[in-house]
Amino acid sequence: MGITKKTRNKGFVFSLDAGIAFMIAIGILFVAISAAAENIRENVKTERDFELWKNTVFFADAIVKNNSPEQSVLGSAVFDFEKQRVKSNEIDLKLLEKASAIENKEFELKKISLVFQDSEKVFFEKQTGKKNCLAIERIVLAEGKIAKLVLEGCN
Amino acid sequence: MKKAFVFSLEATLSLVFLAGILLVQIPPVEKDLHGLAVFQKENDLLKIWAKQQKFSLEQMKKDFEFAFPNVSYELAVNEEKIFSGEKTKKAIASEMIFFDSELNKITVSVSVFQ
Repeated sequence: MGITKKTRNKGFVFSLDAGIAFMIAIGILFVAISAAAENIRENVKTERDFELWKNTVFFADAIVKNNSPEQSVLGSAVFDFEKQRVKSNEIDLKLLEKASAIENKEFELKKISLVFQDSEKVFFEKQTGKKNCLAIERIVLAEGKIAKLVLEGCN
Repeated sequence: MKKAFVFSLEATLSLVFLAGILLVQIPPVEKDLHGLAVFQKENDLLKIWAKQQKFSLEQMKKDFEFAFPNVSYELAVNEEKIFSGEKTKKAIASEMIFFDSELNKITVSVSVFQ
């Protein structure tokens, strides 16, 4: 009569191919996380640059389209009192000379100037430590002559 | 034992799914408003020409080159056209239709090639 002896030994099974597969999986995960981190960094910079574009373009548009005697940076277009309307793209130089600083967390106005065919006149300029700056040009009439209104902002 | 091919449906579906993911092309996101800035300048020029009511092609060419130095462009007043630089597939264009005091129609168009 034979006695069947059952042995149950606990132990470790070391599988080389499973180990390699695990290392590959960890490596892929690491690359994916690094790529995601880089993507986030790039998105933050892109967002900041886009905000600068947006603010600079909209401020330039406001100056040429609106008339705002209280804050000429928000509107320096000529106001036709006879017709009671703003003449967009025609700049009132006396109003533009009153341009003052605008600054908030997201945007700082650096310079406003008018560039004519043969000269340039600066109406507002401010020194700033901010390095990320952008200049936008609009075409206007100033004293009957075509000029480029250049507005530079930073963030 | 005969040699044979094992065809697995779920493996094939997985491969097709993976190929589909790899072929997905995310369209590039606009990172700035350069196009808008050019478009606004073009419209500024058209507005100013309409205010001045001067449609001499030579003078308009000077004004345009002052506003857009060193760019390829096309400027047209009715049937007359001026072209400078290199035509590309991508352009930002604006057009204006103006009626003078005698109701003569003047069509002005500008295109800046990117």
